[in-house]
Amino acid sequence: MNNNSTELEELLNQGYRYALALTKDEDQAFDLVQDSYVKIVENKTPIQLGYLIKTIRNKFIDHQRRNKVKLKWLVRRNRPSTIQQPKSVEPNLEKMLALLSQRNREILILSVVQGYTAREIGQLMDIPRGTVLSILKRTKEKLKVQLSERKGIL
Amino acid sequence: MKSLDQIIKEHYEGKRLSESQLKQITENARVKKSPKRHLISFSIAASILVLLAYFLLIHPAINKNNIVKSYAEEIATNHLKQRPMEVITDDANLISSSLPKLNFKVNYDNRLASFGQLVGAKYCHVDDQIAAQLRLLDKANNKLTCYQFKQQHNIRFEKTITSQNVQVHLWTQDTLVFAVAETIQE
Repeated sequence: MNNNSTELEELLNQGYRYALALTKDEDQAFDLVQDSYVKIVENKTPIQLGYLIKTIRNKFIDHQRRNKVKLKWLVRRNRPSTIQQPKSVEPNLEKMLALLSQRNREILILSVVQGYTAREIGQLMDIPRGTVLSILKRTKEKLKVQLSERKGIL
Repeated sequence: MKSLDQIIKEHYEGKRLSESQLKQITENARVKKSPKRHLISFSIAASILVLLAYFLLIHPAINKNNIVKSYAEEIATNHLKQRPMEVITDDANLISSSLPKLNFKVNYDNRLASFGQLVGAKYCHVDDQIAAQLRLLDKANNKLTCYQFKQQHNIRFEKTITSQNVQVHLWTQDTLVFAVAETIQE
């Protein structure tokens, strides 16, 4: 496998992680990444993580707006098998993250996993930087409390 | 002890697309790559061509037909009124000098002579243009009316149109429009 395809795979995986944060569903996340990548290639736009993230986000909002998301993914057949995901580092984390609001989870993942700054997140989501910071702070505190209650590790 | 950030990061970094998913994404993009874009470009080009064809070919033709038809209708209405002549003569030159407001020389050539004998003329208007109205009498003594006027539209045509039971023969010659109207005999 050459360097280009490895880089592309890593980029797609990063997009997939972000899509997972939005959808909480592996199949939906896969569809989002696929649709977004096809759009980028069709537009002959250079493939960049920032643009992929933005496209995924727009596609997700479009799908939500049309309220066709569930129907579309429910009837889908013959999809390639999803990779066997490794056991979560923290078994309760999956549930805790799923209980967060979509916006709070998105901000958290963009910051912690994708390494976006509060300003970049604000620009992407069209919200003030201060709001991003306060949401991030509250979300982390909430998670910390929940984790410590369950495991007493933090 | 791991930080919360570290825990979340490790949790998400474990999430990856499978080989088959990656393959499907990249292959799908290859297949879908250009047709949509080409289709859009093709649609735009086709629309432009249709518009061009309409404005260059169809629209002028429709417009020309409408102009000629409006001439015929106005002439038929005028012919039916059978207004009296202002000049009674069979000499076209005399008619020209008797109708000085005309911005052209009255014509009575062989083609017009084939319709009937010139007997007189008067001023009139067609399409808001000053016109010469010539009275002709055919061999059966039927009254025909000939109209001559300068055209504004710079179009060429030769047509026969029936309106209000009047047959109107229209044609262009140089800058003038000629029309001969005759009532259709029952």
